[in-house]
Amino acid sequence: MASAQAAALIRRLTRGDHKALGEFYDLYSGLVNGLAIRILRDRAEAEDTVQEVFVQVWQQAARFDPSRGTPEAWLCTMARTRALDRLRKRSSRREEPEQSHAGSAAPRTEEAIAVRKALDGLPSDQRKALELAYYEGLTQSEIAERLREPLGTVKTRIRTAMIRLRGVLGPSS
Amino acid sequence: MNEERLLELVPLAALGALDGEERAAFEVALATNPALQRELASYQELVGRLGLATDPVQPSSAARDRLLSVTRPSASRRSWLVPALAAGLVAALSGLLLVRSEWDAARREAAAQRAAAQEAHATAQKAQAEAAALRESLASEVAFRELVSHPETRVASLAGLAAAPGARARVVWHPGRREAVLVASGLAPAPAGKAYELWIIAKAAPVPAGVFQVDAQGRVVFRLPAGLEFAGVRTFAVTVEPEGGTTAPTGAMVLAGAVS
Amino acid sequence: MSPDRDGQPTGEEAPESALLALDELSARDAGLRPRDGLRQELLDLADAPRLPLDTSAYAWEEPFPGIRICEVRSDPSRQMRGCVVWAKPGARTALHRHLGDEVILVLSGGLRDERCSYHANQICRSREGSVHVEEVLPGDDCFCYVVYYGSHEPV
Repeated sequence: MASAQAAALIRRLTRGDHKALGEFYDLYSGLVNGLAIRILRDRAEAEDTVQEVFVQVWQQAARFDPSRGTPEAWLCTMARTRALDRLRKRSSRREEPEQSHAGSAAPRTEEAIAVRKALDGLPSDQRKALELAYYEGLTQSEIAERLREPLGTVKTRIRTAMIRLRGVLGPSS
Repeated sequence: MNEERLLELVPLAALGALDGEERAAFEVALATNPALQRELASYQELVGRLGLATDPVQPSSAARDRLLSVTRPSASRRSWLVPALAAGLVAALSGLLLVRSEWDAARREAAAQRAAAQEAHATAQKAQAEAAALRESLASEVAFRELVSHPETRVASLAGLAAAPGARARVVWHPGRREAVLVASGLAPAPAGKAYELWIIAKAAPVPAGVFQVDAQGRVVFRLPAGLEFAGVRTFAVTVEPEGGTTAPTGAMVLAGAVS
Repeated sequence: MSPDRDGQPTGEEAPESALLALDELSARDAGLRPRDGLRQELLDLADAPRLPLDTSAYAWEEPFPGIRICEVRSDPSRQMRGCVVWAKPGARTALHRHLGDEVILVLSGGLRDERCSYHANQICRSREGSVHVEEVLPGDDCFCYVVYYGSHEPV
């Protein structure tokens, strides 16, 4: 399974194995790029995010802790953080993305399909609030303002959505 | 802020959605509260996994149309594609019961073809005509279109092995509906008396998943027999076998690929 | 290849376009891969030194006041050069144009160009043909690893 292969690659990365970096990139560049594109809606910026994530992987492979989650979750966390950093820089420049939405990936791994299903199973108001937090990095107050809903309502929706997702998806394998 | 209130904030904190005083208070409490740290780590891991499922998008209609035109069997297909069986598959895919009796008849005809190679050509042409008629009246294309563009359809890439270094292939399958298609290229036509056989490898012994030939250019679009079990599949492989197929792999492996 | 009566490609022609179409689908399946050149560029960036840098170990040149650079890697066949940069706060490069991409990985400190500012572990990329100035932010020294593809010239 991909996660076992990834864990082996990460061990090689901690030993400074350049070849392993290339292989790790081959395995996951699509995942990282897809998420970055979804957040940034700009392929060029997404590619810079990809580089930043994999350079971070290279430099910090020893910090990966399998007990805290899978390599895929680790990568998605880094990708989201960095993509949101870039998004905030752009909004402070008041720029529009260069391209319109380039199209995201249809999930194909079993885990991705399970997550997709769980998200699809959320009531749409919970889903919408969660997506604003996840893909746009908005805070609870910003979400409340965007949706023109009371802050308490937004907090409850996000909380409920997350609790439900945790119930459906369970701990990582 | 009391413990219960802090725990309530964890999912929001994991998303980075806390702000203002609440966020400051949460961070202060976090520093000295192991239970809170554990709960946060658990939700942060969940947030990490959310990134696996960005919104699906349908493939461009151009891609789908190309794929459609490909897998719609044409009247000029060679006899290696057992057309009666293809018609049966098409019937199974569209689930129309009224075709079942014709499907059974077609299957018997297909068995006769294999047994009598000389008569096969004439019988095949007749079966092809029947199959063409069936195909045109059935919703096979809609079914296949749906297969390929359904978000739950999975794809595995197979690479050529030493016995066929230029070969490549993909398997597209829908586990729930047990439908699948193999597309391959770069395979030499099988030697006389031999054919290629696809295998599904899950936890136990490889399971036969159909026998096929390639065209003169080394390519094939092969619809797997309906009803195969894909649950737990970890690898697909193609070997060279006697042309009737075998129940276990005996020949050289030409293609293999793991399922992610 | 003669089309069948509906004008669609026949079975013989079909597999090639099937592979192409599946390639497109798989590209989406794979989450939209970045462009091909990025992989080698990543491997080039991976040569960046780890902090802290021993500044005495490098043979510095100073092309602009306050900006020292030392080339540590090169691959002439690809016109690639990898350089360590040590720049003082407030230092800036002269206006220059790139005949190839320049990719800056900030190791510590910060710098800015006309678009935005960049800090540790961030990438500032200038594409072929762009004309720009980079300036080190006030405060700490800025250490970077820069990969150049092609060359650059003063404007």
